[in-house]
Amino acid sequence: MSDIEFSVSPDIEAGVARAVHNIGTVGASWTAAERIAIAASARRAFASSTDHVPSVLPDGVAALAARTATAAHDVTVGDVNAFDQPEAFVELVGVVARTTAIDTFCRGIGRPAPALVATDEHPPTGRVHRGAKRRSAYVPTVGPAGATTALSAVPAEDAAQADLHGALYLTYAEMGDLHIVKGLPRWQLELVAARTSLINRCFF
Amino acid sequence: MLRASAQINRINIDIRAIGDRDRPVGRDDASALLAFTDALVGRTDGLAAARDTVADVLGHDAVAPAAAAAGNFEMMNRILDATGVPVPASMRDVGPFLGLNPDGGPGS
Repeated sequence: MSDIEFSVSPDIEAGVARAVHNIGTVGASWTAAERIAIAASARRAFASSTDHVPSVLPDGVAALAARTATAAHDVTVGDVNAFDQPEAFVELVGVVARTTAIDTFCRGIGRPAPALVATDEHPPTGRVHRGAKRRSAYVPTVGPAGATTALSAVPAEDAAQADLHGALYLTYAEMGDLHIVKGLPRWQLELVAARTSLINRCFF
Repeated sequence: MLRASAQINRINIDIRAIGDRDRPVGRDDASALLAFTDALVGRTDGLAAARDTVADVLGHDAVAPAAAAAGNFEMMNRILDATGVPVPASMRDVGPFLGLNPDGGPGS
């Protein structure tokens, strides 16, 4: 049975396609080519890929991307402070996290991870949220730090996280519906979520 | 959220099995999903068999949403841990019940 293609809902397919495209576009602090290199560093960290990591990243960034992919709980505020602007770190985390999500999903259904390709050559946009402040997290956030605001210092990353969350799991609005059935009943989705978090030693 | 969604839907599972994998979870569908998540997120060689068990027990169409849910939390765990978002007080009560140490650091 493992050789057959498992059916995937149009919402998930479209959401994954948007996330793949998004990773290959220019960000607030990183070019498209740099974002692809960050994603490739994350993939290589799992030894699940032989993706070439282009040498376009400043010293230490590829290693930090790899550590964020494999041991995010070992990241410290010192890693954030090593950047001139914390928003560059926020964007790195977003790219690594979404790459890991896409690859996990694909592995789960027995599909090869999609190629990640830089789709533009524009300079970084510099678009960050000037109102974000460092509160209880390592990074600045708009409002209290939490699951839906962790990347809010970089609006494009915040939006990309919410978009993929909605496609792969539940939209933020759907999170309040304990009766929802979205491919699986809510309790079964929660069971997978809880076990995933426990394996990752994460409390959320 | 799991405890609440299971209770509200009158699903009887032992959520301690999430942290204690030697403990029966109490339902075949839940057991299949836990084994699939172990193999997928733990990156073990047993993934193909675990995937087939999900398809056999829950149906062919259950595989993708299960994989997607795991993928989403692979994303969220990394975001929350790497950005140092502190663990909510509400989770501190649940963590030890599941076998987690809430004082292991932000998000973990």
